[in-house]
Amino acid sequence: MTVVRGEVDLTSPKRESPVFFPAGRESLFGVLSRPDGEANETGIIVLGGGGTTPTVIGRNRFWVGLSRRLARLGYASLRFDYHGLGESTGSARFRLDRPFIEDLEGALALMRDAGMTGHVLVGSCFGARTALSGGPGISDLRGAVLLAPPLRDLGLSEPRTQGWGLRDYAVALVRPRRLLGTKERLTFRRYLRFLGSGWRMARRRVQRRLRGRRDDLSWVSTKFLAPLLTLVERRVPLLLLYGTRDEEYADFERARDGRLGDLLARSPSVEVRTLEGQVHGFTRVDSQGPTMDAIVDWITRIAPGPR
Amino acid sequence: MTGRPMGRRPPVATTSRPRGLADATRRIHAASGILEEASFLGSPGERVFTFTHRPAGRARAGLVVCSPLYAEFLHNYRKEAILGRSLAASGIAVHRFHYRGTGNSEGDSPAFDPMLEDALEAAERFRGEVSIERLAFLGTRLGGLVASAAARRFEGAPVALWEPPLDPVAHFREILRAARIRDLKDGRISTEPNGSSLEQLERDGMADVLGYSVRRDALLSFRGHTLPEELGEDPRPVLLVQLARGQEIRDPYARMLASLEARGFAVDARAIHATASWWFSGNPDDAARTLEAVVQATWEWLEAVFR
Repeated sequence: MTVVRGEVDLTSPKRESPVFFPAGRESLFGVLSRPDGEANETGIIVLGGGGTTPTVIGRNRFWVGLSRRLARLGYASLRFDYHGLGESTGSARFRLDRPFIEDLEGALALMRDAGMTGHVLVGSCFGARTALSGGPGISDLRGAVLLAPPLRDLGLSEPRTQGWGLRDYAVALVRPRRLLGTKERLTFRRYLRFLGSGWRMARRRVQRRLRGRRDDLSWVSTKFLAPLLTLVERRVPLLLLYGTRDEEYADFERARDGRLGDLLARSPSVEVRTLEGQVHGFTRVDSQGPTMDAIVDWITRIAPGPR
Repeated sequence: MTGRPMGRRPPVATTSRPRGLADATRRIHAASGILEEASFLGSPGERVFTFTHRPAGRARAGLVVCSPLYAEFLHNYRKEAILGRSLAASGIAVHRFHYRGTGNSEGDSPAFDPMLEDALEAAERFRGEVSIERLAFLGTRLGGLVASAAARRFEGAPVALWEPPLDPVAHFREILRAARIRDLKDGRISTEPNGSSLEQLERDGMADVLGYSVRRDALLSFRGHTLPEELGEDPRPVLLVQLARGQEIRDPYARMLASLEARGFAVDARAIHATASWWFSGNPDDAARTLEAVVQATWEWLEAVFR
C-alpha cells in the first residue's frame, strides 16, 4: 500500500469490532480496535471534535488511522460517534461549556468491560474539553492528549463580537442580522442564543475591569482552567498540542504569558507542543502525519509496553 | 443486554456489550422496534463496514445506499443514517456500507470499479439476508454514479439520486476549487506553473482538499462514467433531489430528466433549498432542516414506488 508523505497508514488490525453501548438514555456506536497480540492494560478513548460529522471516522479518516496504528503498537482503543452524530441515537447541540460527559462515561464503561484498567483520553477541540471536564472524575486516568483545546467558551457569535463595544451590542439588539454578518434568515431561537453569548461576553468584560489585572485568567473559561488545575495537582500526564496557525493557540500563548505559564512551568506532568501549521480540525493533510506521530510518541512514553 | 437504570427514563435502544471478538453487533430501538446491525464483512485487508436497518417485521422492500466521497461522505452521513431508520420504521430495510478505502472499511483509496463491486456485493448480500424481492438504490454525489451503475444490474430497480454530478470530471474540478478557496483564505499564493487544478492533480498524484487526500487514481477511475450512461437504457423509476439554493431544477438536470422520460423512465425531481455546503461546515439549524426535507422527499418517493 502506498502512503503519501504526510498521510497516515490505514492498515487495520485483525481485531476491529463494531460496538453499541449505552450513554445516558442514548445508544452510541463505536469501533473497538484491539491488537493482534497481548494488549497494553491502558486503553485509549478517542474524543472527536464537535460538529455534524461522525466522530468515529474523522477528517481524512484520522481517527481510523490513529486507532489502527495504536493497535499495531499494542494498544486497544475505542473511537465512537457522540450522541446525535453518525450511527448514534439522539440529537446534539455542541457548546464548549457543556461537554458530553455522559458519552465519555459510556465509553469508559465499555473499555473497563473490555478489560482495560487504565485510560488515556485523546480529545480534539470539543473532545479535548470533554476530556478535561471528565478527567478529574476518572480515577484510573493515565493521561490525556488535548489537541487544540479552546480556552474560552465561545458561542456562535463570540469570535465576531469580541471587539465590540456597548454601542455595537445595542445596535445588534435592534438589528439582529448584524450578529450574523450575512443576509441569512435569523430564527428566533438563534437570536436568543446570540443574546446569551453576548451576555456572557459582557459579563466577562465587566469582571475583567473590576479585577483590573492584565495577566489574570478571568477571560479563560473556568471549565478549562479548573479541571486542568485538578489534573495538574494529581500529576496526571497531559499533552497539550497546538498548531502555530490555530486560533486557539493565540489564546493559549496569551494565557501562558501570564499566570498559566507559571503554573505549567512548575508541572512536570504537563507537556506543551506546537507543530508548524494547523492541528485544529486536521485541515491539512501534511499536518495530519506529524500530529499523529506526536500523539503516538507521547502515549508510548507515558504508557509503555504490553500488559 | 443492559438493564434499565432504576428511577430513570428508559434508554432509547437495547444494546449488547461486545463479547469476545464479535465482528457484528446489534441493537433494537425501543420506540420503533427496528433492528440495526453493524458489521465488518469480507476477507482480511479488504473488510467492508456495513450497517443495516431492518423493520420489526418482514421487510417489504430494500434500499442500498451508495455514499459520496471525502468531506461529502462525512457531511451526508447523518442524512443516510436517519433515512435508514425512517424507512425501516415503515417496513423498508436499508443497507449502508463504506466502500473499501473509505470510512471504517479497510483499504487505501477509493476508485470507481471497486466501489461498484462493493455496491453489487452489498446488494446481493442484503437481498439474501433480508429476503427481499424488490430492491432500490440511493446514491449521493459521486455515489450517484455508483448507484446508477449498480441498479442497471437489477431489472427495473428504482434509483434515487441526491445532487449527483452529470460528469464526474466536472465534479472533481469543483472539489479542487474548494482547496483553492482555502488556500486563498490562508494567504497561500500558488507558485505552481500555470495549469488547471485537474492537471496539477494528474501531475502530482494527490491533492489536499481541506485535509482530504484526493488521489489521481480516483479521478482517472471515474473518467468516462457519466450519469446518463450509468443510468443506461432500461427504464426504471428515477428520483433526482437537487440540494442547492433556489427552488427551480437546474437546466442540465432538467434536460437529462426530459431525455430519460422520453425513453420511458418514470422520473421525479425535487428541488430542496439548501445552504449547507458539501465541503464546509455550515449552520447546524440549516443542516437539520435540509436533512428533514431530503429524508421526507426520499421516503415519500420510495413509499410510492413500493406501494
